[in-house]
Amino acid sequence: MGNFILGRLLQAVLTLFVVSLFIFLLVRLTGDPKQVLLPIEASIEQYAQLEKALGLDDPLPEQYVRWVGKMLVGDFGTSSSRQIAVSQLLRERFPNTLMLAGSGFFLAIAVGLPLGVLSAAHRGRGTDVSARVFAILGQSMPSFWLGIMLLMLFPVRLGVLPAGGKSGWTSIILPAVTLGWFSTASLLRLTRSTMMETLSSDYVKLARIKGLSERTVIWKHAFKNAALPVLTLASLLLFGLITGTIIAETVFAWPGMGSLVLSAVVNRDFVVVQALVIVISAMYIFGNLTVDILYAFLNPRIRYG
Amino acid sequence: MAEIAAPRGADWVEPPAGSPAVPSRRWWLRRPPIIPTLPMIMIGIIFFAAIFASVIAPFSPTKNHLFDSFTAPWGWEGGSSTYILGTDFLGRDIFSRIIHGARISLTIAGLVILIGASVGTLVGIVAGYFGGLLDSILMRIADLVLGIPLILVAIVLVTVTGASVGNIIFIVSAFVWPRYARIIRSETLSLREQDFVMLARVAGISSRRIMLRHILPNVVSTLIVLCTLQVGQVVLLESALSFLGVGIPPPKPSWGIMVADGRTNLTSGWWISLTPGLAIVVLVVSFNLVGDWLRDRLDPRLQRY
Repeated sequence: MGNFILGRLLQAVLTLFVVSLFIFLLVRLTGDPKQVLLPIEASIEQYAQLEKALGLDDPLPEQYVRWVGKMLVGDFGTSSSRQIAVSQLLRERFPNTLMLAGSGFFLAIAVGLPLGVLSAAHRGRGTDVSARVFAILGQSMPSFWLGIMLLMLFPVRLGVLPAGGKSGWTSIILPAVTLGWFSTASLLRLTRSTMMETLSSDYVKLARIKGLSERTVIWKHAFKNAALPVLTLASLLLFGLITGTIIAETVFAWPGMGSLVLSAVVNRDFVVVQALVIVISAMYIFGNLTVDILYAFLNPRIRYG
Repeated sequence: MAEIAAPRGADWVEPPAGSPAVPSRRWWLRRPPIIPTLPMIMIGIIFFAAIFASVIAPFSPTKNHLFDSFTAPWGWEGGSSTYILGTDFLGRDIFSRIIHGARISLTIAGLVILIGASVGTLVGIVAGYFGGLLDSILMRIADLVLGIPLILVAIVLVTVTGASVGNIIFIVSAFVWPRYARIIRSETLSLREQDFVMLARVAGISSRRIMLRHILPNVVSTLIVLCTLQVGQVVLLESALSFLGVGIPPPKPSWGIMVADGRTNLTSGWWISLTPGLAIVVLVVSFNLVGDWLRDRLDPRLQRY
């Protein structure tokens, strides 16, 4: 187990290294980094200042180590469009993104799992058919379009629920649904297929023969065993949630890190873009690591695979 | 596609009730099954529209009719039969833009899958056939790429180098190939141990020829299923990137951009994002349904993907 964790940890660090190297080299090799890092209207003094701060004349490895070193101690530079430290922006935005991603995740678990189980238990009947339609739609609807349609229906047409921003607990409903539907759908489909496999196994038959109630058979005996493969989906869910927060935040002007990245792209505020990309990537990569370790912990076969 | 006979090997899974396993005589009297007939017809229509876009579309997709901007769809108040689906804020005909958008979406999806599937299959077969160190290195690279959140890489790349069709094809292909590599590798691993490959090796056939003539033909059905299932995902990813402004550069009529155009004019033109989004949904649902159906027929073990 120790070796497995160590190996996966090394791989996570390596992945983060590749991402940071990609960003670093992209800025320095595709032209003048000063032009990328500074806004168009920057003064000559700002150019000189930046050149000194980055040490652009030093060899590339030295520059890279300095850049990473600064980020490790929490110095991400200063936003050129907002004139405040990026680390402060991060502190403001991070909890909001976490809250939104958490709600999306909660929605997926709270709706996807039980619907998947019910769908398998009532195979071919009304519940199953409607759950599958719900899932197919969820996997095929672009979330940005879903968000806009919700926006048009609720705040614009019906005048209920806030249209954007963060104000009171109702403002999270629409972004969370936009974000969570896709993950809910994937979770539902996987739960359904693993449940169906489990329900046709011998020990479930035995439990039925013993005369246990259908509810006990499904939830106590079958569901517990079907839940493990569902964990494999967690990393995919994570990907959907990361990509999804960027979109949901943009559509609903939710003040999180995703909408910050996009507005920084529009303002050509590259310092903010690169800092956020590194931070979100790190979250994603270490989230994946946690899922892998958790899965290996629960399923010993993986560790020696 | 319907002529491809399902392999009846050891892993043959009885098709769910309702799908005819044995074609009865007098097939012309039977009602064709809704799935996959209906989605296949939809895919046919979309392909037809994409190929003959310049003939079918009544207007040029980029021509502005500023006097007719915000015309509602035909049948609604203020609508006219000139612009069946209405016009956007520049007076561009939405129907023509959707048809040309189909061309763009399908071209990009086709190219991405061609590149991703070729690279992934090559890597997967080579890694699985030779094994050892080469296998470890190639699979670590694939895992590494899968661990990178590509939407963020797309954002950085586009901020630095600007939006272009080349960029989006590169980014999305990079996202796609490791999936092929992983699955094809595991198929190759089991094929390698089979007698016909062993015998070919004993007969002195070169490794290259074995991979090309003996292994590749045996993974074709898996490839067909994977490619079909990937179309929807690639279209969703491309439209999401275009929606965020880091995909296809405007004024090209991408469905993602069209939905984004409608977002800023929600109160004055609800139809602007509605129909392009529906086009995405129809395309993705159709490919997903056909993909699921093909998977059940050709490769039931692929369940999890």
